[in-house]
Amino acid sequence: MSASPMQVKQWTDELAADPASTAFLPLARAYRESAKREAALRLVLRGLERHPHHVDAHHLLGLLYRDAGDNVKAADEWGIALALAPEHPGARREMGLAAFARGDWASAVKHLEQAQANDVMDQEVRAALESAWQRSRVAARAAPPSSAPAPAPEAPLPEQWDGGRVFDALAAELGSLSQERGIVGAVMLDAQGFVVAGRMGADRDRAGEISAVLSGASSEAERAVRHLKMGAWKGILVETPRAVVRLAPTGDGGMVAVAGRRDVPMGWVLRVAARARESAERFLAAMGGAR
Amino acid sequence: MSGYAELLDRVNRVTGVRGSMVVAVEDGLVVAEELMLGVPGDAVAALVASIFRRARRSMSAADFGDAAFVQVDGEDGLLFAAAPPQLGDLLLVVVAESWVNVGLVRLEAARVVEALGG
Amino acid sequence: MRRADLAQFAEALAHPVERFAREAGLRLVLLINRSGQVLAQRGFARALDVMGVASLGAGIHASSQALAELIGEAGFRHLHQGGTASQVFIGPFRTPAEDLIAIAVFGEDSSIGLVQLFFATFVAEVSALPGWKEARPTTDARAFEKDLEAGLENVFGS
Repeated sequence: MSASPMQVKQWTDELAADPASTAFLPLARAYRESAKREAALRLVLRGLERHPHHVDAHHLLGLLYRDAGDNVKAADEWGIALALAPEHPGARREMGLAAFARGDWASAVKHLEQAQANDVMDQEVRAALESAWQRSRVAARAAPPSSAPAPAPEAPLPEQWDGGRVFDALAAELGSLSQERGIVGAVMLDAQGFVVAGRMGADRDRAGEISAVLSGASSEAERAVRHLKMGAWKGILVETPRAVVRLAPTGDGGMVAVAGRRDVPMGWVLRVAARARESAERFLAAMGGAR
Repeated sequence: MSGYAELLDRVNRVTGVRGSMVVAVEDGLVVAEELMLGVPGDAVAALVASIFRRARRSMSAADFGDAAFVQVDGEDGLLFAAAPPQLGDLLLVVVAESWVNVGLVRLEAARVVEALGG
Repeated sequence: MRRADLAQFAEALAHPVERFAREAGLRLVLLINRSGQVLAQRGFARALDVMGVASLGAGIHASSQALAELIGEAGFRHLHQGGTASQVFIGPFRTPAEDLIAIAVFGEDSSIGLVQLFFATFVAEVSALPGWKEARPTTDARAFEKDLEAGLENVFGS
């Protein structure tokens, strides 16, 4: 939070009166934002002497170390913060971005996925996550097959990940549904609004364009039925002069969207949408097991 | 009883309908309402109008044209919003039980919209 | 009267403010008290903007309060200004401890109806928080200003 000069004075006063006050934290943040990093660093280190388990203080100390170019110490502090509070959103975010910066794609994906779940609007995290995903896949494909026999594992290897086959099945099913009579698109979106599979649009694929707008419909529907005490949302139906679109939630917080031409019976679109949802749920169940 | 109220009363005669309202789509504010006791009109208006605006943007992004009707299915209830040209920037919103005859509600809503436009 | 105990309680405001912003689809939220102290904010990038919006919002609220009294009203429930791309909502409310003012900026992702709806929830949540659910001791402005004389060197001591 950006602080006003009035707040800075107040925190300063509180800390002067009571050195054990936790006002050191907002004050240090204010100094960091004012580029007074040395003062901020001294404040946090002194605060941690009295509050060694203060999670936010470790997080802030990590930021200050990173500002100073000491990425190792920074990661140590965020690691401490996560050890104290595994759900800490700031530490998770910074760990993810730090892993991304050093090219540790697997670690970056792990942390950034959680960070994105904490704040779906964080564009920096989203961009890094997309990039880390792509790079981790490229790295996996580029890994040369080993000609030498693999060393005997000390522990049993986990079952081979079979996500590609599961994805292919989903893509084929949604592709097939898109070809059904009068249907102009069937697409699966995840909770963050990413297209998982499918296409949408009569002339060209607009799935990517509409996913960002559509993804918000899920949270809006959830908010409405929650506030009005109508149980969980089961679906949204939208009609336009040219199309009928059915949105249905999936178990991961995402949704499927199926669009049909306005001249096909609505009941048909609803049935195709039900099949698309079943495909999506099979995919999610298989992905849960394909690890 | 306003002109709107008389027409809304016709929608409300459908078994399972808990109330209906005319709502300003951009503001999410109630223009007219005929609701059963316990139906929070202000909340329904704000939330349904918001979903409708989202649906409208989505349909536009998909090049499907202007959204004219939106239905939200909850486990314990249904919400309908119709935006016919006759109503301009207003929505006809209906709150119903989950077991309501959807076709009947839509038919009656269409009649009301026709009457409002006339 | 300025609150002297804000550091103790202000962090508790983060959750209700975040929820208000998320549920009502707000771009910016600012919570101030009638003394102009900034209690919480979300969405602002610069402290300068916070101070500007806080002072202007407090000024608008004071003007509208004077207008309300002029026409025989105790006060207005809220103020709403609609622009082309952005709209502003100024909602004064009373907690057991003190009167607060929420200033919210929203765009096409929200509406005045939604903001009003979730503002009511926000008011209830803030009014139930420690620090606002009952009257708290305050210092008068003169004592507060005197206290502010303490500088950074006092913090670090010698």
